[in-house]
Amino acid sequence: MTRYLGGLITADETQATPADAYETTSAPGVWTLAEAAVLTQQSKWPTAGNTIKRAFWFGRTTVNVFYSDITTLGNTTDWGYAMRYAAYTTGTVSSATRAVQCGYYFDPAGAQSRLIEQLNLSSAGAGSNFGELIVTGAQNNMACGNGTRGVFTQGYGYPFSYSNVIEYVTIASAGDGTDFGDLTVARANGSAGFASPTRGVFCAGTTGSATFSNTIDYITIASAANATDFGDTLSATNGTAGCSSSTRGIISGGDVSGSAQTNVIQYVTIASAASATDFGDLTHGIRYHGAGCSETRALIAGEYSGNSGGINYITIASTANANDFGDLTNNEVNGVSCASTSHGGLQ
Amino acid sequence: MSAPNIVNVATITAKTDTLLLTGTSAVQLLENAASSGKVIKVNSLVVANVDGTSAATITVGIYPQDDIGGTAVLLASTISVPADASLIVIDKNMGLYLEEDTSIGVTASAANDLACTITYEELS
Repeated sequence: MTRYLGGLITADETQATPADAYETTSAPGVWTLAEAAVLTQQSKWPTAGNTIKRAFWFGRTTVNVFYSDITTLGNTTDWGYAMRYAAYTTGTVSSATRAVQCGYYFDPAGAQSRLIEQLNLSSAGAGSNFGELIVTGAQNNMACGNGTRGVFTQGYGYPFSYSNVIEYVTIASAGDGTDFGDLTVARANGSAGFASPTRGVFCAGTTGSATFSNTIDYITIASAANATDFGDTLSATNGTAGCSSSTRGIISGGDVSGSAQTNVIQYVTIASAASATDFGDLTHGIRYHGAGCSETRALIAGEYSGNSGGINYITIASTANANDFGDLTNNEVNGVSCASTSHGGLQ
Repeated sequence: MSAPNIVNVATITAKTDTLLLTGTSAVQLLENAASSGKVIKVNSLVVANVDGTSAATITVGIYPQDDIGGTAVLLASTISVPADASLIVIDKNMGLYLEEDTSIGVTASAANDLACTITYEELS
């Protein structure tokens, strides 16, 4: 009988030693410090906080979920199924292992519009029910969160009004939403939400019929209270997407008021409260899309009404134009919402 | 009382303590109180990650006072313990003695993920 590191005796020899240093890697057995040191040197010892860096793309008219390995350029890979379409820009938050989503497109009776649903990001499979929002409807909303708490705006409320309502959930514990406070400006269709571990930021949106907003406001995630004015985006925009490192927030694309969809990328420094600054350009104009990231790289993709531009990527700490990363599977409908396992709120 | 001369002890009591680390602050795992008249020989310390998904880190320190008082000298610092795995931080070959008015404290990176089992002998 072969003796494996850790003195492990197993019927599954592939589990005898861990495969990589990600936090969720399996390493059953009893290990000594010396063995842990050897495996650490080989980059195989599961390390707390070292999560797989993936972006998960949710679709507008499909429940199929695909993912990108953020560190490796390429096309998306099949992951599993959400319970519902992400519709326009469903708000999605995530920890390293779980995505939580709400703000589904109204059906005629509004029955889906309170639902909060979840998807396991560490094990492929189907989504499941998480809870319900307090409000009677949410659509085209914004979201941000750290690893503990997910915060959602209501967006376009049911029946048919632009809302300033903010609710939150505890990502690790399935349950209903709890009142958090109010946005400084009631709006929807912005979708640019991002966070550091302590501060959440919501950007732009629609405040009325064909009326766009340049408002950026922020919250302290751990404190349920009203949002505070942060600054302005470069122009009044809706259909943007957001993601961030722990220090810098990225706002991509969108429809600029009175113009067409834009390829502009903007950024803010999350710890400050100041207006956005130009970052660079996407390879193509984009709106109602998704963005996911690690601490260093952001992926931006998707399109509400069809887009062949594929996935763009940027280095968050720089200011430069985006480059091609790969393609979404079923590009025309996937990518309107995104969750990632290593975004700035988790650092 | 003073710590015994271990060449001529009267009593050796074998003990095992367990502790689930329910928070992320340093907590006392084992102490030898001031003037106890004992010396404690630690035979093993095993840290088990009882979370099925994520690794967590363990820090083990020896404190210069009982009740984890003073500043610890670390025996192990933020060592990762994989999910569903156990790590032997102290084994019998180390010969670790805990003298009077000292203690061992442990710190986890995540609440309710790590359980410590320490075996030792009280010599008096």
